[in-house]
Amino acid sequence: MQEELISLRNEAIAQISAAGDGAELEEVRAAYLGRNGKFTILVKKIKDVPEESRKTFGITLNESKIAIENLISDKKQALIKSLSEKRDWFDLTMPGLKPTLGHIHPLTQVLSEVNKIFNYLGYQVADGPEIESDYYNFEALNIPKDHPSRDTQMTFYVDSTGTDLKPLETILRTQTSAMQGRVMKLGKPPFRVLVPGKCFRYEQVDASHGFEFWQVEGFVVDEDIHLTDLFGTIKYVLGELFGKETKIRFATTNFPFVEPGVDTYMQCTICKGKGCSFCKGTGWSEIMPAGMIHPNVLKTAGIDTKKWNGFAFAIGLSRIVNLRYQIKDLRTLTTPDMRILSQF
Amino acid sequence: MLIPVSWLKEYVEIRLPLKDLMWKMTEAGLTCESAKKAGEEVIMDVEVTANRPDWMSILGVAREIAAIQGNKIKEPRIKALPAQTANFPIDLVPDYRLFERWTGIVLKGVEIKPSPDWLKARITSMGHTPINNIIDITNYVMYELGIPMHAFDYDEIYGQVMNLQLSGGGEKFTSVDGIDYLLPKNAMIIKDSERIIDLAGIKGGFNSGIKETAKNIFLHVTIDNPVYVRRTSLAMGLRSEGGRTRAVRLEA
Repeated sequence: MQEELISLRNEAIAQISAAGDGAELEEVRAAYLGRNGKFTILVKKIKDVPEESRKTFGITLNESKIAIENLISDKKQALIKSLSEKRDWFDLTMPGLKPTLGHIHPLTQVLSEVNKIFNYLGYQVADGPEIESDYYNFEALNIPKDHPSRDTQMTFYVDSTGTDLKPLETILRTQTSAMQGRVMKLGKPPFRVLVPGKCFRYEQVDASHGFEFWQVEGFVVDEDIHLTDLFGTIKYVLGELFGKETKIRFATTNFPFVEPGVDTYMQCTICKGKGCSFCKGTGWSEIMPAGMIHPNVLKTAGIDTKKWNGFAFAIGLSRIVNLRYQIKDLRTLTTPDMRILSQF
Repeated sequence: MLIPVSWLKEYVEIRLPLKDLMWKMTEAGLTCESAKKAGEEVIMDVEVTANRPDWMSILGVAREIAAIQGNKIKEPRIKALPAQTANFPIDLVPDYRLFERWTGIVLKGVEIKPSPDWLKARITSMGHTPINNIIDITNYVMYELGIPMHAFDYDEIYGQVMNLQLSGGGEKFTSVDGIDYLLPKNAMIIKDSERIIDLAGIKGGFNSGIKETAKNIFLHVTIDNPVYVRRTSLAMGLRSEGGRTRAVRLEA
C-alpha cells in the first residue's frame, strides 16, 4: 500500500509539471483530488491497510495530499504569470469592468414612500428597540397579563437564564405599537408619530404569514380628534399608495388598546375583487387595523384624557408590497435570491 | 367557530342574503369570511374575539344577527324540571375564587347509548365527534346556548363529595381521553373523597367520565375563574373547547 501511495504521488507531480494551461491543470487536480480522484479513493481504502502500518500510511497520505495541493497552486500562479507575459498588446482605452449595482429591496422602497406620505401630513418618524419589555408591548397598551387577547399574538420570549433580567419580561416585540408608550413619555402632546419596524410572532410560516414581518404603526394625540379624522387619514394614505380610485370599507374589530377598533378592507389588487387565494376568495384584503386610542393607554402615559384624545393605526408593510407588486407568496420577500431582487 | 345555518334559523329568522349577512356580521365585529356548503347545509365560519365571549354559541350569534337585522330572537323554550323523585345526595365544597357559581343536578336511571342520527349530525357539523348520548347532549347544549357544563358518572364520585381546590403540582391525572398528565401548580381540580376526578374547566377525568356502564349521572354548570383556566391551559399546553369557552368571561 505504501508503495502504491508513493508511486501515485510521483505520477501526480509529473502530471502537474506537464500541464500546459489552466484547463489542463484543473483536469489533473480533479483526476487526483476530486470526488472520484485517485487520492480520494485511496483514502477510502485505508481500512485495508494492516493495523500497524495504518498510522504511517495516514501520515504519508496527508503529507502527499498537501504537497500535491501546494504544487498545484504554485503551478497555477506560474501559468498566470506566463500568460500575462505572453500578451504583447493591451488596449488601455477599453472601458473597465462594470461594478454590479445593488437594488433597493421593495420593502425599503415602500417604506420610504410611506414615510414621505406621512411626512407631508406632519408626522415624525420614531425608531424603537426590537427586543422589548413585556410592559411596553402589552401592559402599557391595556393588555394585562393573562388577558386572552395575548393569544392572538404568539410571543417570542428571550431566555433570561444567566442574566439579571426578570424571566418572561423581555420579549421580541409583536407590534410596533409598543413604541406608543415610549414616545408619549418623551414629551407632551400633541403628537403625530410614525413608527416603522420589524416585529416577531411565533406563527406557522406560509404564503401569507412569516415569523418576522414589517409593520408601520402610527398614532396621533391632539385635542378634539374624531373617528372621521382617522377614516380620512386612512382613505388619503391608501389613495396615495394604491391610487385614488381604490375602494375601501371598514369593519369593527377588537384590540385592547383602541376603542372603537376598526379594520380597513381594501379591494384585492391581485384579483381585482373577484376572489383569489391571497384574499381567501372574498375579493377584499385587510390592510390597516386602527382605532381611537383607549383612554387607559393615554392615562398610563400620563396624558390628561379630558383634554387629549387620539387615534392609532398600523399598516403591514409586507402586505402593501404583496398587493402592489402582486406577489402571491410572502416568502419571496425574504428569500435571498438575486433573481428576485434584480427585478426591482 | 362553525355555525350551521339551519341550526341558526331555529333562533333567528334570517332576512338578508348570505353574502350580505356575512359582510354585515364582519362589519359588526363578528368576522365571517367563509361559508361552506355541506350537502343541504351551509356552514359559516366565524371568528369570535376575546371581548365578545357572548358570541361563543349559536344563540349568541343569533342575537347578534337579530341586532343587525332589527328583528328578535326566538327564545329557547325550556320546560319545567320534573319533581325530585329520590334522594341522591351530593356535597359540593365550593371555593368562590375558583367557581363563581356552581349548580348541578343528579339524574338517575339513564341508559348510555349512541345518540340519534339528528344529534350525531349536529355534533359533526360543530366539528366534534359524537361519543354517546349524554356526552353529546352536554356538548350540544354548550354549543347551542353557551353554557359550560360537564357530566360525571355519579357512582364514580366516591363519598358523594366534590371538593373544589387548587393542585399543589405534580399530581397524576388521567383525562377523559385516556391521556396521562402531571398537573402544574394551581390548577383547578375537583377531588372526591379519594382521588382527583376533574381538571376543572379543561378536561374531565377518565375515572368519572360517562362510559356505557353509567347508570346515574351528575350534571353541573360552572362559572369558572378564567384566569386560572387560561394559566393551567398554557402551563399544560392543553387547549380544549371547554377551556377556550371558559378562559373568557361568559355572561351567565
